[in-house]
Amino acid sequence: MHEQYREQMGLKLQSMLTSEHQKILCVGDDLANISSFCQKEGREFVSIESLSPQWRDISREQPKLDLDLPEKHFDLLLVYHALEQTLDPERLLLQLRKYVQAQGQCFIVAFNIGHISTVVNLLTQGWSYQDDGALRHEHVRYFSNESLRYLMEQVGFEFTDEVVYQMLQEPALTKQLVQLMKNPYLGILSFIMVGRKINTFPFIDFEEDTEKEPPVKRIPHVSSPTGSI
Amino acid sequence: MKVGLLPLFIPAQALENPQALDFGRLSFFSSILLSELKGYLKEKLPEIICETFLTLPELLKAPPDIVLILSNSEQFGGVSDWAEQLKATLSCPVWLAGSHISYVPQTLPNAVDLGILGEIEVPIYQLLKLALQAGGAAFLTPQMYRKVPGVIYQSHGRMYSGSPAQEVADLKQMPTPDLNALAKLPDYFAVSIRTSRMNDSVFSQLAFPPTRKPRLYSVDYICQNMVSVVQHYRRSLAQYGLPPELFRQVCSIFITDYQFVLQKKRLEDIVAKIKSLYLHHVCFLTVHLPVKSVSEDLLRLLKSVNLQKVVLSFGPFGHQEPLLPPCNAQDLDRALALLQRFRVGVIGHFFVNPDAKVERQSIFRTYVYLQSNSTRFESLSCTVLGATPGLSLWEATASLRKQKYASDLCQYPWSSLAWGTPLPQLLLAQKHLSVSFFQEVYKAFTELNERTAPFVTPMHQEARLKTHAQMVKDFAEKYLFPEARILELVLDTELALKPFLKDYHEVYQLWVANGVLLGALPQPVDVLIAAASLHGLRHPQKAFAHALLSLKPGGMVYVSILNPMFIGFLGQIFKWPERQSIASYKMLKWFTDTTLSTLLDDCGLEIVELDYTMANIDDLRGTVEKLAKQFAYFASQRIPQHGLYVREINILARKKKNA
Repeated sequence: MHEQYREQMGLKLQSMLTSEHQKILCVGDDLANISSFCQKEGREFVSIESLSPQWRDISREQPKLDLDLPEKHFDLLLVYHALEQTLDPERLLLQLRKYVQAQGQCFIVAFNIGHISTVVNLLTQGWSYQDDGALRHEHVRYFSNESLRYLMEQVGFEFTDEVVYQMLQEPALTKQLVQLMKNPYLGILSFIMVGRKINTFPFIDFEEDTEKEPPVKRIPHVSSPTGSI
Repeated sequence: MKVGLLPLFIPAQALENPQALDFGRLSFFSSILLSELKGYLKEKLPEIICETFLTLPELLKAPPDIVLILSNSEQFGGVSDWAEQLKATLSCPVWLAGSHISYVPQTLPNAVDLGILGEIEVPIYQLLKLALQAGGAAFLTPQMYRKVPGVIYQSHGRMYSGSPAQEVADLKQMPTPDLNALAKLPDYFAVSIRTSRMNDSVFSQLAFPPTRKPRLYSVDYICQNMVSVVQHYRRSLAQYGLPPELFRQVCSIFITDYQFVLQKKRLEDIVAKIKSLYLHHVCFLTVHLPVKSVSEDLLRLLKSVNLQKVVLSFGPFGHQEPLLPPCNAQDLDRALALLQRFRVGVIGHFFVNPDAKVERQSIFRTYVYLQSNSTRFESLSCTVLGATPGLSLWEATASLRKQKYASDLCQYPWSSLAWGTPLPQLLLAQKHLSVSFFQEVYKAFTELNERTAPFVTPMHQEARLKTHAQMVKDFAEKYLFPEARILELVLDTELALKPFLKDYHEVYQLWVANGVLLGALPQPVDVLIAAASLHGLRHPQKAFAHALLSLKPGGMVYVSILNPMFIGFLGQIFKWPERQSIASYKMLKWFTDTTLSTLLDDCGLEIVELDYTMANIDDLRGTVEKLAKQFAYFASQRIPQHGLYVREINILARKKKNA
């Protein structure tokens, strides 16, 4: 099922690219279709993996990524199942946001730990790591809708939209548990969180004279899911 | 004659919501003025009755002969209104004392009869004596009090003041503070005391009037003061009949001044006296400390008299305000590590802009540090300081103030100095920074405060410590032999066994941090312990196999893990909390008894004993059975129910001889 997911998610992300996204910085799993799409369209596509595979181990003690990239350059930061693999998701995004231009966007894709497949896995097998999905072998961090939104705020991206990838398993049980646990996301395998970079304290880039930077116009919140794949 | 004490240092929001736990940090300091004054007058002028009032209706029910308002700058905006209302309704004399009027005497409101500049006890005593001689406060005239040192008053549109106020020359003469003065304060949960007359911090500078001659209270006075705090709590809590072990965790003394710890010889004497009086058996201490003063020796000394919490106040790294002891990230890091080791809760307070030259970068750098370390605090509040009398910020804005308010300070927005959200009219000393910037900073820090560790009551702090000590003792009796050489893998300092193991064990530690095992392997050991620490490793098997290199053949291994199948954990899967998605959450990997057994087997170990720590089955049976039924009915899935009751899985294994 995850092969189909990967294929569809790649296409969905590609469909979300607009003419605004000419320079894309990507971290996480391979997105070959986006890479070749960008190449074909003459857009810039940079994968962190090829520059510094150490992004997974960023931490308080090793907070910097040695990337030879221009700052405030990219229009879009594409975080594709990277947060689940990194020790310090917050620090990773804080490091990468400085390469994003003042009103740049981010798409953050992450698995939902509360999907019914995890619940079933947990209750029947304990915690059995899988080849893909929230419980993938390489994963060390796990996310819910709330924790992803919280993380976005903490790293200076204002939430503007979300797209959910729905995958129904055990529909009758899911329906029961949604009611019981008051959690509407049991049928959601992963989220695409869309955000826009904000430039208020503490998210200020001090590398340049930003004292003169004009305040950024805020984009209104969209709180409800607006689409699904 | 009755004096109504009106402490205007209580923030209005605390009065509106008396249930609020924290009624403002500055108020804790200011409250000392009230209790010390009441204690002084009670002894020197027993015929005078002092009563504390918080609201006008309350005051009107039992009108006093004189109202004495105590106010700092933060609340000074309300003094004029209060005085006018009092004049209109009671027509009794209204006096004003406290830090604000002492620093800015020219702001004496028209409706106030006289102000007291500097330390308050002696001038008030002298004034009250005059009032008694005159046959009542109403008969007091400026001619009578104009020679009282430290008094300021207005007459025919002019302001008059005499010589500086007299101070209590010998603090040995100071009677014990009267804590009944504090009884009406909303949710007053920690009695504050000071051990010196010296404004040695931003807090004390703002709370207390200036002192001309810094003085220290004696060891006897301080300990007597502590005894009276305990007696006060005994009286206040008598109705609840608390057992001694509980009382000791409720009876709290907050020591506000830095001199308590900076006067080392005196501190040793105080600690010795506290012990001789067994005060540490009946109360606990919260101490305001300069960051750099935190040392192993100091904490050992203070822990011996039941230190449970400390208050650390600091500014942006590199600031230049002399009232805020400087510290950098390394100093704070060292202090926090030591406090964590000694299991002392940390209440942090950040002054965003203590000096006029503070830069955005230094505020930002400090923020970044605090963001990474927020979970090491139990609370982390912040204050944006406006140009406030008593601080260097006040002097720094002299020309700006003159420009804006000429010589008339009536319109000065004192209320904007509130320590809550910075208001647009805030007058800043930092000309290069705007109020809107500080509003952003304040918002960021408020959000950071939500990421701090939950406040742990001393009662729970102690209970947790005792439980852990008992567990380690039981473990040692069951699994360890005298003089065993032990290697311990530690993820969480609080779960480390070493501090509780007897001297006859030789214990080495390797630390699990950032997903890896840190430290050099020791010489061969007899026992390897990994209590809830494998969870913190990115590659547990690889790291564990490395640690096993130091285990002697035939050596024993004890591993415990948390069971992710436990029903209590399941709720977190349904709603994974934010705090578990960020770096401060140490758990990276999860195991079942099967996967753990496989891991140990692959590492060349044979399992000797598999044991489960169960939760209370009766409490959980209903939920577990309901869930199992739903799985069976709606998904035809069978849940191994017994696993849902297991909190921890514990395995004892032996290293194979040939491994």
